[in-house]
Amino acid sequence: MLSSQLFKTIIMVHFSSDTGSPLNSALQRMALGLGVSVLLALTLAKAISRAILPYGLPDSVIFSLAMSVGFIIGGFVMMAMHTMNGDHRKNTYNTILSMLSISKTSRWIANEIPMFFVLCIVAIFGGILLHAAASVMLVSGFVAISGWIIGLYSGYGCLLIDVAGRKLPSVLIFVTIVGLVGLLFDKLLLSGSNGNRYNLLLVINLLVIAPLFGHLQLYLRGARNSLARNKFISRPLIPDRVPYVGWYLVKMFRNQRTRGSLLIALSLSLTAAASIIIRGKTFADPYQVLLFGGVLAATVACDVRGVMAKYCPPEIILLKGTSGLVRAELLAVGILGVCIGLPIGITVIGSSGEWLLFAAYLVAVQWFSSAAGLMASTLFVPGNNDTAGQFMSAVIAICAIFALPRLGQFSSTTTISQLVYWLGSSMLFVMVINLIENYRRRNYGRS
Amino acid sequence: MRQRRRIKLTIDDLKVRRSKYFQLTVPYLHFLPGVVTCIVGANGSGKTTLVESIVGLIRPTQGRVIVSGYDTNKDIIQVKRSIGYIPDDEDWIIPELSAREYFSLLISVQDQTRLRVLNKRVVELADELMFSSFNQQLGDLSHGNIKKVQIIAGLLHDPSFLVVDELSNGLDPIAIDRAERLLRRKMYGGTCIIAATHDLYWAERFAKEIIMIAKGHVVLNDYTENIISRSGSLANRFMEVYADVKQPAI
Repeated sequence: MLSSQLFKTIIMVHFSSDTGSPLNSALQRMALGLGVSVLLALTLAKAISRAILPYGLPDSVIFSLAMSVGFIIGGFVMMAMHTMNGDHRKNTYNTILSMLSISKTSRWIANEIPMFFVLCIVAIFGGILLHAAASVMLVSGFVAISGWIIGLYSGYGCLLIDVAGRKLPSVLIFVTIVGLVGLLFDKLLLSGSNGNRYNLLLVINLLVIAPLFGHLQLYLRGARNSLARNKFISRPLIPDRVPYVGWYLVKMFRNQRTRGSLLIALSLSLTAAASIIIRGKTFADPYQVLLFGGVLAATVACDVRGVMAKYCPPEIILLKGTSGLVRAELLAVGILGVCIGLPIGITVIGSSGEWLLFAAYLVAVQWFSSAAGLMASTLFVPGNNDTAGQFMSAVIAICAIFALPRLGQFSSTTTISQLVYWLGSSMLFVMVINLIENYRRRNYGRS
Repeated sequence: MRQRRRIKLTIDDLKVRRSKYFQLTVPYLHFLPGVVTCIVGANGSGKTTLVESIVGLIRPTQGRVIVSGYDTNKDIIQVKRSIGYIPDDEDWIIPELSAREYFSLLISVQDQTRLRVLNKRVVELADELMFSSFNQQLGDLSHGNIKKVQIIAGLLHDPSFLVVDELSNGLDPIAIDRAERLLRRKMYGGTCIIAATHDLYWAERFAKEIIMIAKGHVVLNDYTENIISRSGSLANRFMEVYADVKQPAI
């Protein structure tokens, strides 16, 4: 069905770094990703096994819950990695692939394989955690893990849905399903009768499973995809009066990939804000909610460095050196990061007593997240089809956001100290970014 | 042989919109086996758009391209089996693969009963084009060597239709001569060759038929000998045609 050489090519193109032995590099990176995720999951599983979790929940609820969480995570991972935009059709590899006389099924498998591997790593990570949680909650681990896996692939499938050649509707479908599932779970908690609960669970399951259709659609689209190469991209002209330092902001809007990821993050942030308002939620610790906006800002920042050349970007000259380049990058991701966090921040600001401190905290979290994303992006410089690079940078950035409160022992510190922690750490990241860029610039051309 | 002579490529009422400023319109064209047809035109006239529509890289906005009775819109796998494409794009490679791996990939999707024949053909073609860097990664190859890889890749499955975009770009004079000889042999064997080029002297020497495109429209479709007898040379005819074409206002 899929020749071994084609399989090797897919692995090399998607997972290798820029080395002399791409297959080895790809296999090493995949093994590293798998190893890190297993190690992280085992560490977290120990913590879960000591946690106090609700137990005795029916299997049907556990299945739906695991599936819904899988759906959300799968969708997020895919969004972060940009299977959106039809990136698959945008590079030479895919053009060459499209010229091969292979069957629809082989083409479908070739398209699915890279993301399948990434989701496998995520599935193993979550599977270990769910297994640990299931043993504490006295429920079937098999049910939870199967729900989780179906949810993951459904989340991926959702973002594969193509409506008239556009990807934005798939994001809207994803966001709508996430919102609806949230509302239905709220209703489920309040519902009294068993019959009503059963119906609600059925609707939730159907809603989450339906986007698996995206995979079928990808298969059906196979022949057509093989025909069409590029959408003809027209780029808006750069305004004449943009100062050099604002160049990155312009570049992010011009680049289809960064523009897409920004739009997705903004739409998710707005949806989360709308959902909080509709459900009339209040939060005991509104500062924690801001981390969601931080994750969104970090995933956007993860894409930024990849839109430039890895070793010798011309922007270094334009922006007067490495520090100028980093300043411009930071300005862009910082401003956009705050914009992304604003909808959620504004929604929950009422729950906090001190709005000024809350606003400063919001800015600090968003700056930190953007700096973390930018650092990860600078480290890996993930290109359009660098699945492993995109995955690793997103994982590192998100881990940094969740690790800092633990490292800084936020539970026993004041809000002002936390704010200082966020800002101080973001300064540290900026220094690391500068170091990486300087190292790369000095060692360019030396092998 | 007789059966092969009947195979042809037809373009019917083709429209390809590339941007809001450019559309390629081809009411009707057909290409016969054993004939070299050159597509010529100025920069941005639509040569590459036409070539990419023929090989199935671009989906037409309207109309059809029929290759050996198969529609590129519907039976794309059959179409791709019978078409060889030599692009004019240095990036048209998978830089992670070595030349050997690249050929092996292309062979692996062909009929598995022909493996030995195809492997032998790669060696023969490489010999002919003096290509020997089989173990080097494609990303590290020179422009000329990449072109040689593309020529071998385009010819290795013995296609009935060969679409060439600027054959000589990047090749040294000896390699050009050898590539031309290869193409000539294919032509005598009944392969239909469609070549897009800027080199009017090459087209005049090589092609039996000339298609001239200007601003997305076919403005000339004639035998080379007719063009030469009327205008003296293809270059003269090109100048005459383009003198009549209104230049866009700047």
